[in-house]
Amino acid sequence: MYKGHLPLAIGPVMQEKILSEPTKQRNNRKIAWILAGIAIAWYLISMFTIWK
Amino acid sequence: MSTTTVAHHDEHEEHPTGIMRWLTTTNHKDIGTMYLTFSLVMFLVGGCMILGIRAELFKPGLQLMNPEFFNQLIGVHALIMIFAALMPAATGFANWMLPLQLGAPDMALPRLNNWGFWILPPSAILLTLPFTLALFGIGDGALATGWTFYPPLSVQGGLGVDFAIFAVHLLGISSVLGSINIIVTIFNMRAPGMTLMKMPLFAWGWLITAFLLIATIPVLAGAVTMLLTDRHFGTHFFDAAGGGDPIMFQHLFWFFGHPEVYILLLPVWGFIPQILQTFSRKPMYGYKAQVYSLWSIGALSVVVWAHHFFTAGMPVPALLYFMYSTMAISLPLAVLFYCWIRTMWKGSMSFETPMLFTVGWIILFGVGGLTGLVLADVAADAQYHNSYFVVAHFHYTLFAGGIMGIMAGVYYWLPKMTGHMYNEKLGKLHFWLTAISFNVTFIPQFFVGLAGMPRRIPDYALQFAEFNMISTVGAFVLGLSQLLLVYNIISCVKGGQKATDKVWDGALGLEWTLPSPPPYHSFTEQPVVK
Repeated sequence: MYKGHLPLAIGPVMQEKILSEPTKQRNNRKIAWILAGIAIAWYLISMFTIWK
Repeated sequence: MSTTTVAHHDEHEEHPTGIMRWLTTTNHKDIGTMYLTFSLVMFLVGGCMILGIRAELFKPGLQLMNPEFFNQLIGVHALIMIFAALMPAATGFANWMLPLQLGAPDMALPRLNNWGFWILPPSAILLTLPFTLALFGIGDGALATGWTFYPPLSVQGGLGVDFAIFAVHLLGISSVLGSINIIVTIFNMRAPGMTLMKMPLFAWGWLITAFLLIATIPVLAGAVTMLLTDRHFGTHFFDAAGGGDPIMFQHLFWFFGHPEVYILLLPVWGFIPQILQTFSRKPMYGYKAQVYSLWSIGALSVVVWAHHFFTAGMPVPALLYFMYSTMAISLPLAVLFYCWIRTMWKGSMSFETPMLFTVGWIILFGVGGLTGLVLADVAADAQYHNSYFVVAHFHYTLFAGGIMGIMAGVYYWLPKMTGHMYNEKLGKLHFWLTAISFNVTFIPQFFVGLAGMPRRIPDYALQFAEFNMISTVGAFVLGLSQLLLVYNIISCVKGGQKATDKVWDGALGLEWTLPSPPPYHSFTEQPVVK
């Protein structure tokens, strides 16, 4: 399962955890995307609030 | 305190070797090591820059460089020390220690982790490249605006400003990616039984830091993007001649800039109590009080930004609000100081190098905090603003409070990371040389600042000569003494006395249950916190 020599391969223990807890992994990505969305939105808001 | 059960196997040590290991790694310890190494290199680069500045200031008059180059060194020194030395050091510790402390096999998003790190070196090159380009007649050197990018100077500045703007964007992206990873790891990857209020304080410090980064970095990015459009695309956001407002830039910049101070300090405030409890051999005092204080400081840090430009002019109610809110930060901070001292109180203390750095840190950071109160006073700030008093204050906060704290962490965790004990005598010598020369460097700057010497000026009046001379001598001793740290780290990585699993007698936490150094893939079986 562990493709240790491929670029950006994830370690076997972590890989096992990801495969055994798919819901948790989906949640991890969901939280990450929400936080990234907040950061991008905040970036745009900080510019457009003072647009003249 | 919680007890733990941990199992570990030695299999799964397989990983790529050579340069590919470092380029493609998703392993939290590898990435942590890269962050820490990058931080150390940039700390030395930024340190060399400031030694050039201090050499110029050794005596009045222009000796070694023209004022433009002097200003460039100052701005890039600050950007490097903040974005490329201190922040990556804290992120390096987060990568190394958070999964170990939380009982996770890795960071939640390992590929994102790799990306977050590899954005950093190009941005460091962008920051420093204009110096090299200027040698070949391209551009006029790096940004000469100070790290604050204030317009109109930054709108009128040369090529170096553009390079710095792009560098800040990249550094910001890296920080936000790192923050996302840390938040997800802390929320979703803790070992069974490790509730939020059982987490090590370092995790709390980083959780708040990560939220602060997500709240403030986009605003900085927005401000410098607008600066870029002002420079090249005909907008006038910050150009008064076109109806823009340069003070608005200061508001946006410091909305990021002030929390940034706490972004640099909160991770340190997280692991300092852990070091204190280890070397006092008793549990830390007031864990909950410290958690709530960290949150209070994090929350207050985003509503006090305008104290950095009281003298730019603002309505009296605004002055009063920003003065009192700034001073209010001292209340939760006082709670932290109380907890740190009470942790040591009647403890069975010993003073190995990490503890020496920690105790020295408390005293010197205390000076930084108290002088901050002076600057928070609107009436007093009119006198001290833009003087060397401010320079001395923020170096007590960021060198003593930040870098010396990081050094405490380096000595504390180095045996765990490398599997070897560092040279204790050299470590103690490093501490004493650092602490003494730091004070020799910066105490004179309080005096010349109080007497009216402005910052960011390569020449000064004759009456400041003696204090500047002392400060320069101190700075060179401080700079050279850091070579002891470099030597100690390198020799510790290469070999030395074998470190035990639980390196320090009084150490508590999951990271000390693993071998030293921990196996490549830590926690092959899920630890359980009871």
